[in-house]
Amino acid sequence: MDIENAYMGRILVADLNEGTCEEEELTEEMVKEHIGGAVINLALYKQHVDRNPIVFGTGLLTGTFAPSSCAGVMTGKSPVTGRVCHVPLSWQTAVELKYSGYDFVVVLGESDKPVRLWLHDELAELADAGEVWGRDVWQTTDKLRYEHGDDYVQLIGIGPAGEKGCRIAQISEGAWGSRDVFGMGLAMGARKLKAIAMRGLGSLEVADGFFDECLEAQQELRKGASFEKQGLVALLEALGVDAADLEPIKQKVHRHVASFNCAYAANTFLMIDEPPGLLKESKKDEPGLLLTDPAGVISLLFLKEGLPVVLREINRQGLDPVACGALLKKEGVAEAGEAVKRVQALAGEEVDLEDAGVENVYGIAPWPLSEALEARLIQAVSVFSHAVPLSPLGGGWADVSVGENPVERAQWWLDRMAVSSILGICPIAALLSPEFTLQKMAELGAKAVDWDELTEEALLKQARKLVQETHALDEANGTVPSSWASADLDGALEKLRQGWEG
Amino acid sequence: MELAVESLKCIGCRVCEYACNYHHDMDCSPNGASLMLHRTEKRNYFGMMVKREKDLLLARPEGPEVVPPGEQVEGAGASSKPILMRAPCDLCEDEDEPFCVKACPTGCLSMVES
Ligand code: SF4
Ligand code: SF4
Repeated sequence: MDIENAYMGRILVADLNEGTCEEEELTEEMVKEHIGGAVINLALYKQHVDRNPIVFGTGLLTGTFAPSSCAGVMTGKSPVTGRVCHVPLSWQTAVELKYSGYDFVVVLGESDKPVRLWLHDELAELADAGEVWGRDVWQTTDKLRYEHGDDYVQLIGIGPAGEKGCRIAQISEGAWGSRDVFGMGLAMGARKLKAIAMRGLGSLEVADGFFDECLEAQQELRKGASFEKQGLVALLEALGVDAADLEPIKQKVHRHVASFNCAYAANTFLMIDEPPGLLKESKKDEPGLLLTDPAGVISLLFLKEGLPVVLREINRQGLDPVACGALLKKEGVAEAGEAVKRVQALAGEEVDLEDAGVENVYGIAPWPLSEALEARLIQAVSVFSHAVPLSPLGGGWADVSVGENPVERAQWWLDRMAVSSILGICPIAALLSPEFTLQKMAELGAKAVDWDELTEEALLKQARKLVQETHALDEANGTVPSSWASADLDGALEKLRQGWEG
Repeated sequence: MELAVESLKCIGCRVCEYACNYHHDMDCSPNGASLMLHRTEKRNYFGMMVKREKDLLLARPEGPEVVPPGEQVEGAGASSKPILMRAPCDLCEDEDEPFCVKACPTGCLSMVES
């Protein structure tokens, strides 16, 4: 196996109590045993479990020529649900992490004063974060990029919400929102870890023929019907969101933007303070925002024309838009100015959604189909982010060779999420492209590192083990809010679990 | 022949940078590419910059701009400087097809008669 085609070979262990950074080698044996991504994250999590670790990891293919290889994964215990979760990272975040020289970062313990982690060119530094503590996500991103002299520094950070103990705090990827629906922003804030900033000049080696094989795979994917469109709004339409509800957003669409090496631009920029047709560079510093999370947008659609300004404030405060949407709706706050003020206040409150009377909300998706049994099953397992749609995108279930059985459907989704989290494939792309089969993903992985044993079967075995072991870490797993508990759910969950045992 | 950039087709995926670097250096990174995405993220202003033999092509969304050597690039911050040190685009003359064109998923890049 040629591990240098996939990984830099380094794990960083940052101890916040001691203020130290130590390096360990990512060995070929570890990759052979776990393949990569979330499975290695989980092994590192278990190894350091008594220090309540948070692990940031990259997949085997993250940052390579493999299509949609933008993804990484954050693993840790949610301070809100108490369950261990795997949150996908996209945009340029995980790619920059790998190229900074570190394939995995383990954060242990907690600091007594605000700190930030700076990873660059195979060096790691824990630095004082006093200057950015208290600043919102956008100010922090600007400040740290300026400080490090480079606009291409990528960040995983938190805003005031995470600092102040708010339970609906979300981690941010640079200035934008993430797929964290587990309150991991609070997990970082409780450790006084304001941000991880990353920049690197690393490089990976490339196996003979890998480049061409990846381009062929990419071309194959692009033949899929989903690729006739671009942008986040088209994803929402494919999910069955009412076109009339999307009209206020559509009118503000500027340009669509892709995460690293994704042929589908799943992010869409909305202009708020400039005409959406603007081609020249705006003279304003912050004329709009990038929509990165379809779940958050759905949750806020009731704000109509007010959505962009409110979501911009949610991003700045480092809050979870799914939870904010549910709460604002419950409180009857629908006017934009009022909603912005309420969002600013929320960042300073503890926020208990159950106490507030918002049902089924922790880790629960706002998708139109979240009532379906397969979706309830997925949410009951609750190991991957439900900010990722719970069904195939594009052609829906008809597009993939899975029947109507909810257990099989839930397993299909879990397999896709697990495999993409191991290899570093964007989870949205994995749902958009049924043509991107698990077999194809395994072939690209095998080719990348010249490792014949990486077959679809081996990948699936790791994927199921990942779900099973993560699920087994907490007794609460599999419990669901009483309002959607049902006999058919209990029986189906049992069947799903049995599948992993076999 | 020359490399043409239809800037509004670009989605900022950056794979062209890695492909170009692969052509030059046979490894995977954006560090040695003759082209580079310039982006002001919060304004969503982005486009490719191509280091050419004699000048720098800025494929701005509002239209292309050619910057002669030694001239200051307006609006490009410190982050864009590295492009000036890079090997210029050699049009992939020794390859069957230019790597960046082959890798670009949107048809934003193409080879045209000069
Ligand atoms: S044509 Fe070749 S050398 Fe020129 S930018 Fe494209 S990949 Fe680089
Ligand atoms: S590959 Fe094409 S779409 Fe992607 S950044 Fe380069 S020019 Fe833009």
